[in-house]
Amino acid sequence: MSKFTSLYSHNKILACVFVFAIILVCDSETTNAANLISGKYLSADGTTLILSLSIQNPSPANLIVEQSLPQGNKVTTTSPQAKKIDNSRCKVKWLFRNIRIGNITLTTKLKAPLTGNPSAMVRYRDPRNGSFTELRISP
Amino acid sequence: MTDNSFAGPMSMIKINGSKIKLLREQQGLTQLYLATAVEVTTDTISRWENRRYPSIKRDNGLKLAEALNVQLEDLLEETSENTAKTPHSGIPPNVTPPEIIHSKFTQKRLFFIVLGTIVCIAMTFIWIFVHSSQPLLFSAKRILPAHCIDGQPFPVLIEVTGAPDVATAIIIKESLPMNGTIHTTSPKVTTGGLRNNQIRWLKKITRAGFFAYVVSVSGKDAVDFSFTGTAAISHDSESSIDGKNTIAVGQHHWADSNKDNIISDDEILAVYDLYSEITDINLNIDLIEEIWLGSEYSWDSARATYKIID
Repeated sequence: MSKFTSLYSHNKILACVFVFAIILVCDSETTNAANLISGKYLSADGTTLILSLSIQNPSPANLIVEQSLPQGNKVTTTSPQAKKIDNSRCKVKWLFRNIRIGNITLTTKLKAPLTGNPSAMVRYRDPRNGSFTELRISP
Repeated sequence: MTDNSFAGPMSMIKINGSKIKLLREQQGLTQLYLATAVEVTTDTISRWENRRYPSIKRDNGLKLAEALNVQLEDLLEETSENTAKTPHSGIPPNVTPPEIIHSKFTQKRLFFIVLGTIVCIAMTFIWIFVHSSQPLLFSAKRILPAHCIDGQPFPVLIEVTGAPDVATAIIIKESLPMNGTIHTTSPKVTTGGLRNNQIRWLKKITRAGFFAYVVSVSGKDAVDFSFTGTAAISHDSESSIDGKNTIAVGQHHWADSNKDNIISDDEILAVYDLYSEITDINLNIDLIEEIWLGSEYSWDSARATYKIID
């Protein structure tokens, strides 16, 4: 009986190691899609809003950022230049094409100090599986 | 209780046959007398005395001791003598089977055999997984929008996958609907490569490549138009191009995939992701962006223009 018990515990250890190795191999491509891009507001008060995005590997080819402001705020300029500034709806939209790994900084200048909290929605297609992904960023 | 006896009425005890013989002869007793007293045969008494049955039932031991007028312990084999004497004959029915000898060497060998088997199985599965996920020698797939507007251009993309490390010459033959009009192709085709509404390309690719063209079709709404084509790397390997092969005419821009009169962020990202590598054909991306930036659009078929609502 002791012979079989010892052999059984050896096999149990081997089976656990084997299963762990298989999981490690098969799971190499299941990183959370949201980790490809992360962002935060570096400044969200006064007349200057600064939104910083960090692009990880593998980077999406193209990216859309839509920033929403509370009603009553007016945008004067943006950097880089936004595709559309809609002050009636208090929305700013950027389109970035052929982006690379690194950081993107979006600056929004307001006519008057910000009232309320801004938010941004980052949208892209995951290069690994083509799925459409949205990431919300708030101060 | 000594080490050579076991508890229980039917338990076995190890006897010293020499002592039994000596005690019997000292008292002038015969084997027949002992056999009768213990209720066994004289052959059995003889085997006990000659140590051919080193273990006997405890009950028999007690009867034997009583017949010889001694204590049971006087008949038992001493502990130090037990390891020295091992019976050489086969195991009789009233003798305890020998204890299983624990062989560390056998256990280790079995462990490595099992380990080696598991490693081989794992490597086999990994090999099958790697080879099954590798692409075929070559394949061609057509990417075609689901719908278009009568007379308005739309792109057709043929995605080709070839051998990963070898430049492969591929011939693509793409047949358009009879009332289709080709606007531009990528790569460019010679005059001979475009005739009878068929496009022919010959190009070398490594790993993957694209063939694309912009076309428009004329027809009524809800009519489907078919595209067919073949891809070949040799005379024997011509095969049909996979993927979508029909497009329907309607009132929605080809990039508006869900026909909701809006080009959403997802839809424009799909356009950029699919077609951005094709740089020498005009997809009118500016118009697509303009519709995307608006809140809604509609097609004015009378004026053949888009109305974009801001």
